[in-house]
Amino acid sequence: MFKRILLATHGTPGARKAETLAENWARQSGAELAVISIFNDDWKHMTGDDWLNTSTARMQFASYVEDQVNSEMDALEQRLREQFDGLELRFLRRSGVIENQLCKAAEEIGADIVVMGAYQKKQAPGFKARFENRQLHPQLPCPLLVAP
Amino acid sequence: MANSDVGRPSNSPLIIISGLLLVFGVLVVSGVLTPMFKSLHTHKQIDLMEALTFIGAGIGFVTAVLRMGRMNKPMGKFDIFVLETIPGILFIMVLAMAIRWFLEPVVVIMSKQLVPVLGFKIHKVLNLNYVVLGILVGIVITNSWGIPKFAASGVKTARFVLKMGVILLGARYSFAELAKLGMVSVWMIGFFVLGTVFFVLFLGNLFKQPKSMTGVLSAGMGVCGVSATVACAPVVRARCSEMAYTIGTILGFGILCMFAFPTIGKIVGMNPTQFGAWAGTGILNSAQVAAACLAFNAVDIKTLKVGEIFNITRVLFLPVIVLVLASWYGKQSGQKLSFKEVVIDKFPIFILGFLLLFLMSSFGLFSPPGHYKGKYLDFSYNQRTEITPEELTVLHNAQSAGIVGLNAEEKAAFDDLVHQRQIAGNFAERDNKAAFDTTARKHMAGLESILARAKGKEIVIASEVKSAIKHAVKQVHKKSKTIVTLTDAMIWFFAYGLIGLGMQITRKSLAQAGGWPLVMGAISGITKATLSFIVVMYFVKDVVLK
Repeated sequence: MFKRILLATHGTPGARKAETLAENWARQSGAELAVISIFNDDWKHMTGDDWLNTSTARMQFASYVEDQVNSEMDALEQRLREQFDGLELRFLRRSGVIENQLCKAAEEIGADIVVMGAYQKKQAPGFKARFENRQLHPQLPCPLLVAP
Repeated sequence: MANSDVGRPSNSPLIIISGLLLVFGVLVVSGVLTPMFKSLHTHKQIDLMEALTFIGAGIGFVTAVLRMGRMNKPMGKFDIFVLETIPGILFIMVLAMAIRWFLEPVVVIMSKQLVPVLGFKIHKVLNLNYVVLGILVGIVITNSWGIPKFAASGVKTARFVLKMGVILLGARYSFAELAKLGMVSVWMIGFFVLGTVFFVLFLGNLFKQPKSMTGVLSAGMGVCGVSATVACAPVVRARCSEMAYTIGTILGFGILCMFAFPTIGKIVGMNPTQFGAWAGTGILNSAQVAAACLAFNAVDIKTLKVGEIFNITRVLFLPVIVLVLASWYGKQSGQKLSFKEVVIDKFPIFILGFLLLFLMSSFGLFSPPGHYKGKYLDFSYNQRTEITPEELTVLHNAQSAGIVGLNAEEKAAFDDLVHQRQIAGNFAERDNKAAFDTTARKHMAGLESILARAKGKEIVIASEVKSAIKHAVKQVHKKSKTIVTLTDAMIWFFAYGLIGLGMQITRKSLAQAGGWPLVMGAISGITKATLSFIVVMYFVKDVVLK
């Protein structure tokens, strides 16, 4: 049914439901499963109203955040490799505006469907980032499935 | 070395801004707008309006022409640091001018008209002066339309300009002032910075929170908000969520303090020294300290001077706290960091500039010996030469009630002070400096005569009226022309820098506040603000500042 499924996850409880659903569908249809992790563009605003630090200190902070996000993505990738054992896998990392990067990646790999977790009333611990449907939907190159 | 060819934002916004400045400048020169400026009480700024608009328009057009010639060519350093920043610089300049000359007076007028409905002046309660309005406008722009693409590079200059403002402030201190304020600030800041850092570490232990989180939160709540968090996060190896929660909490707390502190300070009747000390200790972000101090008193910069000394003392504690946290965390994690990474890279270099200006000023470099006792009379139109709005109300009431025994010169001088809010010549004569100064000196002589006769008990005036007149006379006595110019530049640098800084505060970063950092941040922040309030009210006395 599907040749290529794009799974968007950061490992949050909502996204884990999407992981399970995407895994099942990939196993059933023999599709390639591409997993995308996006380094949220909003991190660039997280130096807020800091004005005291030197550019060196700010650069150190930026590269430290990047390292931290990458190590979190490494851990996620490691877990998913074990969980998705036997599947044809591909891991993608992007940085930028979530909606834009997700749609761009879906188009690039020729995804048949994008799978993601549902909106959770209580947000999972971690960087709070919610995309906006009105930004995402007009850009989608393929159907979007929200795992309940 | 030239970078790769990066698409430059369009030239159109720059041309439009320059054109608007030019048209505005021409309208100001023609006098068409003078009646409106008089009704807004910004007519005294007409000369400055002309200068700034024509200079801005000139720079804008020249930049537009240069950029046009460089379109589709690789960007070099001149493009990155000059040509691409000027559109953003002009954008903030236009906002600063619009806020100072239009938005602030309109807000004041509307606030006064709303008194019958609200029962109070909302601009007084929320301290809506040009500084706070500037930050708010910055926040609104970045969270609604976003920072325009053409202005993005220029907006980044705000941090640098704000540092320039603090450096210029250095010229306004004397050795005696620095000695008096420095001692108090070192004790207070030392106690509250270290106290808050250890209090947060204690709370972290109590609530069984990770050390990386309590480390980064303690620096943010104890020293200087987001700046300290940015400096300490790599040292204590904070996790992403910990940094995000902490920064969101600190940003939100800082904005609340910026509005709440000046209102509370005015309600309890703090003097400038007390308020400066309280804001410099209790408010987390250094820029917000400057904003709160200028919101408390924008007429003269006494409060700002006190607040910034406390602020600078606190900033000097940053490398110390980073060192303490690095040792504390390193001991447990086995992590080793170099002295350069921990202290030298975190040292706020602009403080050296502040000290340099202070030394230059102290050695008399800005006060030519020709000025009488190091002072000269400045009758130019300037907000810092005016009396405060509270003093204006006192004088207005006295004028309505009538002062018995004033002669014609004294009455004319008194009426003109109420009319112009400062000692000055006639507005119509402002282009003839000699005539303007002669009239101003007559007005000053009339007011000094009132004070002398009141002292000799020839006439009776209320002590508040006497104090307001004394302040008016004091306001035109300036140390030197250079220092007046530096101070004017400093005020504009602060206005500019705070608008740009407001543009860095996004809804999404504020929304990160949460989790244990929010709980512990609220407890420690409120505790610090309350305790420093008590200490300031009971132990900090007014310091006479020039």
